[in-house]
Amino acid sequence: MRIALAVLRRDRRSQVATVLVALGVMIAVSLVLWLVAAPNGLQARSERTVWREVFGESKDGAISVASNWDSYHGTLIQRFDVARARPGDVPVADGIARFPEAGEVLLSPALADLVRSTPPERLGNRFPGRQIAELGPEALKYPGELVAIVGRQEVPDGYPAPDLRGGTGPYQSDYQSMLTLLTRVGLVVLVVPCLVLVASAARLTAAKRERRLAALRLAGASPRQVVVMTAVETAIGAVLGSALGVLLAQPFSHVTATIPWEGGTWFPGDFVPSAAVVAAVALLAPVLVVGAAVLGLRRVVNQPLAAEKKRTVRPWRLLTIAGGLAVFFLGVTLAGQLRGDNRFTLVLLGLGAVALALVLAGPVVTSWVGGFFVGRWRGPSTLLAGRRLTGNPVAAFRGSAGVVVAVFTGSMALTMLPGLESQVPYRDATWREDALVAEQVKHDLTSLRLATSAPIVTMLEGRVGDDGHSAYAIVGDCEDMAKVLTGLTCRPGPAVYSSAPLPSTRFESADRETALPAQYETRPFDGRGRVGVVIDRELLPAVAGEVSMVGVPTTAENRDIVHTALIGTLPGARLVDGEQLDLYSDTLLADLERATVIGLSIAAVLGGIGAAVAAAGSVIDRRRTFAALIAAGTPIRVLARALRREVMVPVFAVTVAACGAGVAVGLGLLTVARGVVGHGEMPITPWVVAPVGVGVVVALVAALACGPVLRGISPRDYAAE
Amino acid sequence: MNSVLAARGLVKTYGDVHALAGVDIDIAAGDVLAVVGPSGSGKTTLLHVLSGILRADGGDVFLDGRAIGELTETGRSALRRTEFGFVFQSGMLVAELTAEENAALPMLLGGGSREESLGAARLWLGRLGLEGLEKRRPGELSGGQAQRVAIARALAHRPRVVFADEPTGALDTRTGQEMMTVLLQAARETGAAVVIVTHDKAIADRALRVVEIQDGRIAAGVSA
Repeated sequence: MRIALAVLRRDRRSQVATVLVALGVMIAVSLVLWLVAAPNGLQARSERTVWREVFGESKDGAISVASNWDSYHGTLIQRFDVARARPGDVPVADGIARFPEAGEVLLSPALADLVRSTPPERLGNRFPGRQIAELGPEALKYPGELVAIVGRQEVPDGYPAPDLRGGTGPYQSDYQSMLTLLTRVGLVVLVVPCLVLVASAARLTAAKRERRLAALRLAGASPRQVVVMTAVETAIGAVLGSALGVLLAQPFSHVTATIPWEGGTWFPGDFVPSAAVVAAVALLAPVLVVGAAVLGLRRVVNQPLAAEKKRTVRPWRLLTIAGGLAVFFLGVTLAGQLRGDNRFTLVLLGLGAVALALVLAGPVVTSWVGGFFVGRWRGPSTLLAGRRLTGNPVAAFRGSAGVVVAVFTGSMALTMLPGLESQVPYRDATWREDALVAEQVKHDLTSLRLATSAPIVTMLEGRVGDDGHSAYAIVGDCEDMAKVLTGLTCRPGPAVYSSAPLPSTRFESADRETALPAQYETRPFDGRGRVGVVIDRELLPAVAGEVSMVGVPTTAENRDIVHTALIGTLPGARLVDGEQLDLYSDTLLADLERATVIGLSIAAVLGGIGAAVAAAGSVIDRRRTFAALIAAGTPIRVLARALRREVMVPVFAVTVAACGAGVAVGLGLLTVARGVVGHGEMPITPWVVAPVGVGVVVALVAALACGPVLRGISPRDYAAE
Repeated sequence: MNSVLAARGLVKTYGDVHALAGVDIDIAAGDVLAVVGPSGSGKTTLLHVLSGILRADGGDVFLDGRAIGELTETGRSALRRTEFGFVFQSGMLVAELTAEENAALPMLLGGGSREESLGAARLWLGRLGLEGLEKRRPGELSGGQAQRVAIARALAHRPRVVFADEPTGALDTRTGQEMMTVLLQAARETGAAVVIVTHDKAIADRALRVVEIQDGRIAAGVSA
């Protein structure tokens, strides 16, 4: 141990390597803590909003609740219309001052501010009553969330609930599942570049250390003493880095809290991992790094006199790609049959298997490409690069492993994103863009008619057909419905508008069942949404006076006013005009894209740093040889060109394979996502190969790190030790 | 003497230390000069300045009457690549290259074609008794064989002067003497001058001339 510490005190290169190991471990630990803390953030959000999951709790509840999405100028508002069903105390969740009685309102601070700064007819009238308090952060999903709890005398079509606390425990939506999946994918793909970075840093002085340790072995040091020396040398950097990583994770978690997800940022404490997790990661990281360093000593420990041999890699490693893909697709297949988190675990195991297979197979491809160069070289730089690639393909590939995994992930993400875009289930083109439509309307419309002069279209929704085969149908006045419904072209006279023949004449709405006359005219309907059949009211006189939906065509000037009138006068009604749904899907896609860009940027930067450190390390390892070549007149530009090829060639070759694997895995993950959302396409764009270009550019930048290190070599260093 | 390489008033200092303090030397074609002296006497610095690896702080080195101190770093690199050959302790071969590729490297770096460079390298390896070992890597050669490859590398491009820095330092006495025989014979065949830096008296005795460096100066008692 004393020797190890003495070396560290005196040798500048060992000091640099220790600092780089510490930096690598620090980045790795803070990233891992960041990623493992993400589920905590989701959990915290779930726990704060569990009071909103009140549906189906009780058939005979103390209160009635209607939960709806609303929006104002592109921002979603979640509102809860609540009414007391019987007298008595109604328990509420933390952050809710008390249950609002009829005429009382609770608003989140951000919504309260918005209401205060907006004319009431445009927003405030949606929440009629006296604001008794603001919702506390304990009841909000994120800071700045727009939430309202509006006390009503009654809430038609509300769900019975015992209280406003929730009770079945946090509900995990697909949205949350997606972030959980993304963070776990991130854990897999970001850990590899971290490991490459740490390994590259640890290898910076490996050649020199191996010579020193071999000398010590020959001088009588036992294998155990050599192992302890190495462990001490590596542990100093690793423990320091781990401690710094834990410290860095704190400010990192606050930065993470500013990244929006599902419409808002996070509370500062959301991303703080548990103490047990922190301790486990902080302990495991140095143990792994020291273990890897000690494992790397096998040759010196066992054969201190052995000359460095040509390190060949066996082609069977290529089979690991087939194996990795097989494990992945097996996982995907099994995941399709499971529910809950288990399916993601299976998918992630498969993903890890593919990433591992790429790292294992990379040296084989590197060796083959090197062999190609060696067979066809014309100049010294190609020869040097080719021989290096064939001579030690594992070392030549080591630095690029992070970039390869980043490319793999990038291709996977670019395969998945267009597919997910098509799978986002909330795009709804049923209604015209200028229309506002409310459903679950059981109200007297007098108040609405008094509140707005805009034309009000009344409709009844139901289904046409029998139990086995039916279509979603809307009943109303065709001319009126055409003002709010897309694809409807009316002609005089009562008719059924349908894109396909009706399965039967039976019409069923929520409250009753009736039938179309035996004879009726069918006209084409080019609906682009959920509505399949439009029926003129005159054809169903039995339900002619019934209303379950209200639509209002609006203008840019009166849209807010009509919106506010609909919400304010039809408590509990649900707006289905598409605006909220579009906002939700836009938010979802923006979140996915943001998460992808952040993850890939980190992976690319880490991969690039790892490759740069590895490239610099490969120069330092061969410092004396390069010095001798420079002394003998070799231009540095020739050596730099050879080194660039050394770095670039394996990256290019293996990233092409990684891109292919990424596309395959992306398609597999899309299959799982399709299982989650139930539908969707799997389009592949040419952009899936873009990560190869990015990977090559990152590798080129990393390869440029060789230049300064080479220029730092003096021709006289051939005699240095 | 008709000098290929001449040094006049060479001065080289490192801080307060005078590694060279006014050295004059003439080296003719076919000459074999051994530079000896205790550790830190300045002998390796002299080799570095003579070969253009280092630029002198005072005085200059002349190759065929041309001052190499006036050349740029690029120019001096080109000079070392084309006019000089180098043999280092332990060979300092490129570990990944085969013996023939190592020997061909200076010619390749000088713009030689693959066939021409490898052909010359094989020829020299054969002359130096390494026939059949052309495809081996340095790790698969003995110390003496590796030094022979280094000699082939130093001579394959037919340099004017070969500089050898402790060329036998990593070899046993017998192998060292054999290596010297090979080096001197090969140099004689090409007409190259040889400058050997060594602390081994037995090796120095193989040279035609010996200069002893002490405190950066040529000491008295220089052998002709």
